[in-house]
Amino acid sequence: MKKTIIVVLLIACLSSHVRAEAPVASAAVTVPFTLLKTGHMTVPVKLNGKGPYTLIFDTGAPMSIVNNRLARDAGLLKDKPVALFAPFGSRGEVKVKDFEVGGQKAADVKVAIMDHPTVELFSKHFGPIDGIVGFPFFARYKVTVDYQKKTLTFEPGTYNPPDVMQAMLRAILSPESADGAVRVVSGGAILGFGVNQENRTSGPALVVDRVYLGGPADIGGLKKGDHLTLVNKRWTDTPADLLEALSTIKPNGAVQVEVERMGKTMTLELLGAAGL
Amino acid sequence: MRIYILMLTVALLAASAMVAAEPAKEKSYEVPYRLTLPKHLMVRAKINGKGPFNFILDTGAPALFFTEAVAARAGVKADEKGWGECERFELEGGLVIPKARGRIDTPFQLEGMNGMGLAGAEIHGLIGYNILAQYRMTIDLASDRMLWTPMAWTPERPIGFGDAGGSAAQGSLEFIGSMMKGLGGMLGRKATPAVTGRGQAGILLRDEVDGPVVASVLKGSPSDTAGVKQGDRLRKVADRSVTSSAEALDFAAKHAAGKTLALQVERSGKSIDLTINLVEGY
Repeated sequence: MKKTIIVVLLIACLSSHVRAEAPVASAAVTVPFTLLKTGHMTVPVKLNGKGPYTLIFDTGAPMSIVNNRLARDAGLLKDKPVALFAPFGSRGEVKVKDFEVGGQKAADVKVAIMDHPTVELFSKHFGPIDGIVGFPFFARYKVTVDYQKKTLTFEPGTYNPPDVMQAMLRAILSPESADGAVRVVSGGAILGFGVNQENRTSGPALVVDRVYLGGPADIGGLKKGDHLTLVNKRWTDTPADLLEALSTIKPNGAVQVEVERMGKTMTLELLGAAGL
Repeated sequence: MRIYILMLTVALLAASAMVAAEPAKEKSYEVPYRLTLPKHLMVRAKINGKGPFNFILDTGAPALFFTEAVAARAGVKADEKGWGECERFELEGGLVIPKARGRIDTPFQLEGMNGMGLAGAEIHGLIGYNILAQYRMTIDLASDRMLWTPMAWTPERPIGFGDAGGSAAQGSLEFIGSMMKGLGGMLGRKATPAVTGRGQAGILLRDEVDGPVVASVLKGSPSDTAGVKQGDRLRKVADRSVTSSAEALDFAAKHAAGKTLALQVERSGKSIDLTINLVEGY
């Protein structure tokens, strides 16, 4: 029942924003940033042509946030009724048609409107700072952060960021996330080997205990008794590590495997196969 | 109402805290990462050979942070101001950060995320300015690795609001952490959900015009034992009709090792039902 209410509210909250994303073709843009004494960086941001405003650039922020002052100034509050429960002046999310960070323009970027206490604190110390630029903007680009030159470079990328709020609520409400539920990880190809976890003095280690004759792992040179140390550069100390490292493999995709065999470290290349 | 609190708290998971720096040599490193459920960039690190621990890459954090529990496991001692130096801080991908200084503390964002199980993995810390500024980083979400290039320079030391550092500088947001812990409790979430793999059947498939065909059966695998033969045409997986190997995999994806998987194959014009006892395998 509780879950039903959450779902209904969620749909009510989010459905009004559903619209196709318009791709914006543009070139790489290098944006100088200002480094605050606290180690945070700020960038100039224009919203729907208004501004520039000063926002903090934050790779650790799943959402972008603007305060009410900016939202009012840029005309983002139209059609946004004031909620009865609005701590920190929260007004929900809006999609900004034209979101520009120092000359790099993105279309239809979601921002949450709220007076974030940390942002307010920065604003008090460093002059007007009106929000945070987070994942929904930067994930669209190949971003280079250079603290020495104090620049951010945004090169148009191919990644289409999902709606964070929606993804999280879906994850929280899914049966898989309930207590006691087990998440099943599935790679997109088969290699044909098995491992056994051993506890060594250095910690847990995965040792190959089965290689199917004629399978992809066998063809790639994996042997029973090999200690798996890295898969696609990721540490493989536990079965969960190995599952995550192999979760992105595809048929005919190369998998780089580093093993220790008789005291020697060697790198093998296995080729994933379609199969079960 | 609760959804509103949830949205709000999610929105608040973006804040900050305070602090020191060190230089390094030239060479680029590929650093594997993955995205947490709330789309944080998560990297793994071993501290003094212990771990791996999960860290969020956060330009919104002024310094490296890790929890008291991590410090204890890795044997990092805190000085009187709550800072500790890691003898060896190694990122997955092979990058070793020399003399990484971190604040031993639990920022409220971590409490909140771990309390609700929001990340899909337990988060042990944040990597912020004092470490990040020593590198030039390229992040492309289309790739599962970032590129870190050590820069030969000494970044300025950041300063905090006052000298308090840590959670005291977050502008009265500390309560959010405990609030989200509370929410997590209500929703029955855990920081680290149990993970298992899709069970292995031991069949290689190839796609033909009329659907997937068994290209080979791995000798000694569960499919071999169950009687699957090379050349069998795969018609159903888990009672659902399949038209491609990708679809077959999709329908088998949630079947863990130790469970059974029902297959229907066509052999010499006859339909045959088989039950596979899935094993752990990759």
